[in-house]
Amino acid sequence: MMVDACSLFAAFRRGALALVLAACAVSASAADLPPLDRLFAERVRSVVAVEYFVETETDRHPSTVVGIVADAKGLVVLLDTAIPGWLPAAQLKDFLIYRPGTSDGAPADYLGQDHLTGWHFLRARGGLGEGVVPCTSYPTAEPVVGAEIWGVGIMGKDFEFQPYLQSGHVALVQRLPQQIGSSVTEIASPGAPVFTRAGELLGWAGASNAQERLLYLENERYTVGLQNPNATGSFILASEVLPYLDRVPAAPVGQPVPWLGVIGLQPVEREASEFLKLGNRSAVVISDVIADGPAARAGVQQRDIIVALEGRPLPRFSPARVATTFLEREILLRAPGDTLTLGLVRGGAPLEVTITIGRQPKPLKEAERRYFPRLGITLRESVLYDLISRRMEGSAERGVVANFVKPNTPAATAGLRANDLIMAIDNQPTVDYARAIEHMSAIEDDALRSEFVLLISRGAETQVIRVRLR
Amino acid sequence: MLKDYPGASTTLPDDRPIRRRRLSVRGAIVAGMVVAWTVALAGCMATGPGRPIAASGTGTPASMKRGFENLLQAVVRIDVREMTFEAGATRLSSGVGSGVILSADGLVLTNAHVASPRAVEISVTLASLEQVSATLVGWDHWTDLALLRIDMADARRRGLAFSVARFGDSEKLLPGQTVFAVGTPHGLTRTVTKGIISNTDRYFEASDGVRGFETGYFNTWLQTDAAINPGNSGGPLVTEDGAVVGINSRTYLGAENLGFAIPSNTARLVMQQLVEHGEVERSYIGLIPGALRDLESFFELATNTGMLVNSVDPGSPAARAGLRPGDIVLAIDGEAVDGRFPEQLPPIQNRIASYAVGTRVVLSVKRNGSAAQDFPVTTERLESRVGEEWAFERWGMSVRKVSRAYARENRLPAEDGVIVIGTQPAFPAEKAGLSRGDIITRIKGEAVESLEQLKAIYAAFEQAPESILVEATRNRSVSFYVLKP
Repeated sequence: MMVDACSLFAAFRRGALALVLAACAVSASAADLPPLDRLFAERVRSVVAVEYFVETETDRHPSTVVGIVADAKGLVVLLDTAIPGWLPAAQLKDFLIYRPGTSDGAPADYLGQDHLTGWHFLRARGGLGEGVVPCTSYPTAEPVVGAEIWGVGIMGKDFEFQPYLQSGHVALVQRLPQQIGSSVTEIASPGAPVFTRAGELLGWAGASNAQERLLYLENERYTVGLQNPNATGSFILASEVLPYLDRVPAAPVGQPVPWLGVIGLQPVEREASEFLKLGNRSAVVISDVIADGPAARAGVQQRDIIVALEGRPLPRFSPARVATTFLEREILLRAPGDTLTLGLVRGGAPLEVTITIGRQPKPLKEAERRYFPRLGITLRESVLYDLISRRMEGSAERGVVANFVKPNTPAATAGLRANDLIMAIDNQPTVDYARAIEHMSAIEDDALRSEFVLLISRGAETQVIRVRLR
Repeated sequence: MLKDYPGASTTLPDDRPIRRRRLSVRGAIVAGMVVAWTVALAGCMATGPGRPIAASGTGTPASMKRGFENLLQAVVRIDVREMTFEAGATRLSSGVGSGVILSADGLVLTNAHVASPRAVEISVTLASLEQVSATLVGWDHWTDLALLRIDMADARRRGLAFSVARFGDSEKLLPGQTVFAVGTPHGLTRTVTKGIISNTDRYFEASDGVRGFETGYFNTWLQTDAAINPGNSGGPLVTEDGAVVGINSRTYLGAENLGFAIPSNTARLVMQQLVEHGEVERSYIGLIPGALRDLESFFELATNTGMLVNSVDPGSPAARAGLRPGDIVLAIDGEAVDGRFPEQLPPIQNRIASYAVGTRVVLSVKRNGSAAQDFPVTTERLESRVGEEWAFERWGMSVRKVSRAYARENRLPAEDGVIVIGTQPAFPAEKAGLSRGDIITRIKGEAVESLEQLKAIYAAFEQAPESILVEATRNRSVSFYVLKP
């Protein structure tokens, strides 16, 4: 994600830019290739900067990210990391889409996040005009190690999102399980496209990774991770991007997400596989199974080990943990109601189960919530995630979550903290969210009330707290 | 942050020879000054070792002086070398604390955070500066007390003299009353500091207050402004006539002269238990009380009535009896309780804890404005959340047994398993991928039910090293690891 560029940084960047351009001039020797400056000017028309605000109970935080243009009607796609996944869509405000090098943003609507890719979709209300070109309109290419590639960098808002060119060479292509290409040098802002020297679309730059560095301070040595949030060297291949650009959610919330009802899919490392009599097979263990979930109903048990999918062995990946991502993606590629056949090993014996895929219970970011401004408390309905993380999914009591507690309010002073589970309000068990909201509204609206009492659960302990209002 | 002071150098001893040496040099200087003093006190010491000098208490200035001088001869420095397991291996660490001799046969009271069952070598430096070894009689982290016994055979053989301090009555202390702390701050043997009682009833409890062990649930603390520093731990807080009214144990780091001591009336009872049983057995029912302060009208109670139930441990006797958070305990076995303020909670907890394990106790409980109802609860033995620790050196892994309390606290499905508390780089456990916080639930296909079971597997590994499959959980994820020779 881009941060507000400070002038020092920008100056450095311009210096670096000059060096990069000089290097390019030397290496671009093939006479039949179009000049890079012309390609750059054209391809920049597929890139936009997006500004939005995250609105919380008491603050607004601005964010600026980079996205690609996906159609001629103003559809823009952002990386999954462009917007924190736990933020409710209702808290994302005032999206503006900027063409690089301009200062007037086009208002846009947030269309939602696709559950498979994690990408966020936006549409400019009045389109983006004639000047933009969808990423889908370029010929594509597969990466060749050693080939010269380049991408688009975008500066901060104070520099009117000025585009600049970055370049490098394909150093490596990995299957994780999606195909990811890497350059040793930074080649684009996260969320911007990457091209071959001939101008073919090669891929989409992903989030930047922290790089391990040793830091010497006086006589001490430290291992640090350094991350440049504004530039990255890795990209998802175009062949993994273009087929999914039409996965526009029908609505920002309430989309059906396929779900098995299992907890903790963990890869089985090769050495352990031999002990578990799995031979040389790639394997993933199911740590736990949600009671009455789709997997449980199909007879899956905790500690079952998955070795095959739809009759085919799980592919082997390095590192082994990619097998988990592969499996999760296979589930997400299906729809609720579809079936999924897993080859399992249980206690050394093979068996096969066919699971009818269910619909994921409401995710955290879609949970109902309400802020009570006078009390300074946001109540949120508890969802399965809340209960799993507290090992309470088997419990009859669900409570409601104190999602936010404003500092120095009576509730905060009384000891209520964000993420406490409220089990009772004034001795009334919070069996459902609607009743809890009703009760809290009555307290909020009663100016004469002097106190209320909450039973909260934190860790494995509960606590009765009295909130003094007057 | 209220911190216990384990001593001048708990964890850094072996690799800090310079500091240690400096301490001992300082000790020698102090010794020079003290020797003369000891000589001057020879008259008092005429009764010889093991014979407590009868102090007349609140008598004349002369008798007060005698009492205080007697006390000084009963305060000792304690040097402890102990095992630690956190590094994935058994290591030794050492620390310095203080203590006070309380019986003619060489019983020394100190803090649990000075001397614990992990101690492998305990050395006591008497007021005469003579060193004699000691053994641990027992410890009680709940009150931060430990009891040592001086090697009396050796002491007699060498003709070592000491006097015996006596307990005063901590209930009779008044805020403002002059008190003295005697001990070994920063290794400075036999340091006396002076102050007053700042508060007689300070509430402080911590679930990990004594080296990760629970403390303060069953007593309140004396607060004093007599300077208490690292190394004072375990030394006595005394009145002007030398009566021991507290055992110094804690202070606020970064604050000035906010020291805390275990009251002598608690210490006396704990010491008696440790002498008789080597431990303090307490009852547990699984109620976590809260102060009722200002909640009386909400719960429709008369002021100064009842104890609020804040929490009920899952699966505990109280939970099984049907108690719920928000209940008000009005009486325990017919005797009314008053838990209005936090300071009143430790005595109530202590009352429950004082029942013999397995006693049927009747709690009279008010719930949701209804009339009182009786809940019979059968007590269990109180256990710490910190289970037994061990290091498996060739695996480079140290572990702690999952205790019943730990399993409840973390809502674990079972009490099986050991928690990895440390790994050593490039040893089998670390190479396999195990790390601190993993809970090993199965090894070689067997559920891990006890540390002994693990020790047996380890012993077999030492005899004939072979690869071993380990199943461990972290949060709610299961992973498999292979320990390779």
